[in-house]
Amino acid sequence: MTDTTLDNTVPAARTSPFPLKKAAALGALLLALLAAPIAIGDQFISHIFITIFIFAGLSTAWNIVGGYAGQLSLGHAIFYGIGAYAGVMLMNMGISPWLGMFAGAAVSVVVAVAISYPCFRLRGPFFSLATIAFLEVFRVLALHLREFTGGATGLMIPLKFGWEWMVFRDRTPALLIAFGLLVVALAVAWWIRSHRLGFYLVATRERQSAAQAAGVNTVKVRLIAVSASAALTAFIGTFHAMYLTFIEPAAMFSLTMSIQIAMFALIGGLGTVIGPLVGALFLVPLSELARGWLGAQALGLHGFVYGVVLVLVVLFMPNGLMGILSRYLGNATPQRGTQSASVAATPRAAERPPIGNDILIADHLDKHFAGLHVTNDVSFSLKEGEILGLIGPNGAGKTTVFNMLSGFLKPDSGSVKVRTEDGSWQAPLTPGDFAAIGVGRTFQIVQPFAAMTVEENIMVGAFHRYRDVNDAREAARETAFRMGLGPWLHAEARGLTIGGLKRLEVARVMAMKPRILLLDEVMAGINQTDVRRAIDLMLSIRDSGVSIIAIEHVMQAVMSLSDRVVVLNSGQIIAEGKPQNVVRDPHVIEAYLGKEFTHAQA
Amino acid sequence: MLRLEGIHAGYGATTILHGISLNVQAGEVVTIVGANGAGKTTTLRTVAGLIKPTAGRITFEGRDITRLPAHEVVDLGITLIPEGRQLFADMTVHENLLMGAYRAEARAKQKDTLDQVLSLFPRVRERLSQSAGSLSGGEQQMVAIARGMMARPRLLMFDEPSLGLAPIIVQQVFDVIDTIVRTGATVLIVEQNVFHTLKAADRGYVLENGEIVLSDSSDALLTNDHVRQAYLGI
Repeated sequence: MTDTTLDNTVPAARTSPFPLKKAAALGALLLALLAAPIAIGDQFISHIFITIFIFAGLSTAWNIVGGYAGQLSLGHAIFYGIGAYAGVMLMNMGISPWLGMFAGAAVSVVVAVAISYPCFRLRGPFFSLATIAFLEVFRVLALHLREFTGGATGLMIPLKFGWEWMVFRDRTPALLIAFGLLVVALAVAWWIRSHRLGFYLVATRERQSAAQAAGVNTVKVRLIAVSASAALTAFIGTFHAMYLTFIEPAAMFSLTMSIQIAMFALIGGLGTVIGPLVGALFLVPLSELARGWLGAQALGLHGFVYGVVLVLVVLFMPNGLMGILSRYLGNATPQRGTQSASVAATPRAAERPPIGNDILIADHLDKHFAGLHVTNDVSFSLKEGEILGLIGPNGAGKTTVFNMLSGFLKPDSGSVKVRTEDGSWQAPLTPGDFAAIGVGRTFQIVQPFAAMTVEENIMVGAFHRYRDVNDAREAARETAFRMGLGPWLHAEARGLTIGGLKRLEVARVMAMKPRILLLDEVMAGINQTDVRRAIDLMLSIRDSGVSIIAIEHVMQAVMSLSDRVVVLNSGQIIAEGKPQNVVRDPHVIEAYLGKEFTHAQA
Repeated sequence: MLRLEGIHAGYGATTILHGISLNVQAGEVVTIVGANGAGKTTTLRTVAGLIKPTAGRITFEGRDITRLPAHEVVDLGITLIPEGRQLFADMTVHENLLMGAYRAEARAKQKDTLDQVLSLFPRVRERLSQSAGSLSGGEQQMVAIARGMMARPRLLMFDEPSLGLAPIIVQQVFDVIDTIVRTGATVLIVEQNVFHTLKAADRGYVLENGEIVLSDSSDALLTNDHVRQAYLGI
């Protein structure tokens, strides 16, 4: 027997998600990158390193949007160009680019939000298309507003040398500034990835609805990401303009460059902190060399070299260079599948709290889908501390009711009211409102954040209560062990079976500590013995004061859990009452249970 | 008919099956019983060629299929009806069924097969022109089984056919499986509904932590203390 002895001890949370060793290695790598060109002292080598730093920085900034948030921007040169033009135009008016770069960043943030806000409310390729379109708009504007931008002839910077003007005769100061900007970009990217914002971004990228159900304002977090990315990109744009000493619309607002920035991150490792740096380190020298060797005979052949590298990476390294690196650095320790940990047998409180007054009311809910009346005048209420079973044939409208009870669908008519902690009634509208007021839900079709580990999945829920990463991690671990997911903490969610994923759904929502819990078929795919444990778990959750509505087909669970049962058929309530009475109702037997069930019960 | 010898398999760095051996004779209904995550689904996916074992040997009718790609396994007559149905939601039911007979050999007899399969599933016949995504869960499960039958399999593998279905539909699904069994098909089935499945099966294996710990006739397993305690909740 494997599943009776259960290790309930929760190991202490790692203090840092980014271990010291890795940080030290990264620091050493960066210092070496800075020291090498200074030691060599060659102008051309310095130029190559400056180019590496600039592209690594741009790509790191891009990765916050393209990698973490999963929004493929193909027009990031917009922000680069704005930074460049702001810097040069202000410098011509006698203002130092050190100030100009902030002006550029401010304009970039406004532009970024204006482009993104409408797109982030949609799903699909709209953001990518919008960034390309706006890139073209800015290029044309830069061509036409001749009195400000110099039009097609471009702008020269006034030759004022010194730190004040960010322009130097020697390359070393420029090298230092480029390096500094890269470090800033990396620091911002690292900070985002290791804090709540990063978890929210990745969660939103992986499963938008599940993120919303966990209380994430999916539009807001992505706007923050795009703003940070645009500002960093503009900083680098300003500096690069000073370094180039000459800017023109075609070079500043260039689609090729935008794609290049994205490609460094793709090849290095999308969504990882140092992937873009690794990509730039690998590709910038390669393209400079290709240009040097092939340039004279075969103009444009370096583009071909690029293309080949990209194809090879996509074919053989889907996770980019970082994927290969982390495999060899021993991140993936082979493990024997410790698979069948069971749901923790939870000690129950001696007495259940009494059932209180109504805490959630579904009031005359009506919903149509293209002529189909999915729910027809559905009204019921949930009382505090109660478990309400919602049963009915497949396709009866149960999940539609859940979607209306959690803000994912708006009823055509009727409303959902929830009593808040202070006793007042509210009618929340969006998934975020429902989460904020303490309504948590699971999804019937499980919605794991596939690229995250089990622990990180649960942390997304825990962040609803804790801002701090370590607090959230600890809460997530506790919940994981309680749900029998302890041995899986560091496994990627995509490796779990259906039964495991169902438990992960419950764990994620439990980590939010909801007052009202909507469970959509969480017992499906687990065997009878685990069903009994899960029933105990639900009862202990109820005893802790949570009110539950459960959609369930496992009648064993429905019968022993529910205080009341509501039966839905073809969008209408056909029976309601105590479970033992409901299962004797001839309508319920005919529509849902079948005759054999009655025989089995008799 | 099907024989697994010392199969080790898993996902990436995680090994899930630790040397399992089992066999299925022609005309038999065999079930694998086990806790969540014991490796039941992994076993079926390994046989289907969706996961390559790291060690061990799989033979089907005497032929070594250990390293065959999934589509060639289908050609040999093994079909997996996957967990959670996995229909092509935007295609019609008819198109879904034709996808089941996609391989050249099956395509040649497509029309006959379709008629035979639809005679088993009158409800599916009524829904032929609807998109698969618009069906209820029970109807989708029927379509998934029908799609599996379209490949004219000699060995049918079911992964959790009753998952997420209303009790009345679960009965219908098991009725359909019974009908298929009566046509002489060989069946390997994985189900959480252990009681129902053992009733329908001839033999069963008990899988725990990626190892087979017990194998016996269904009747013997139904009265086995360990099985009753661990899987039937009695």
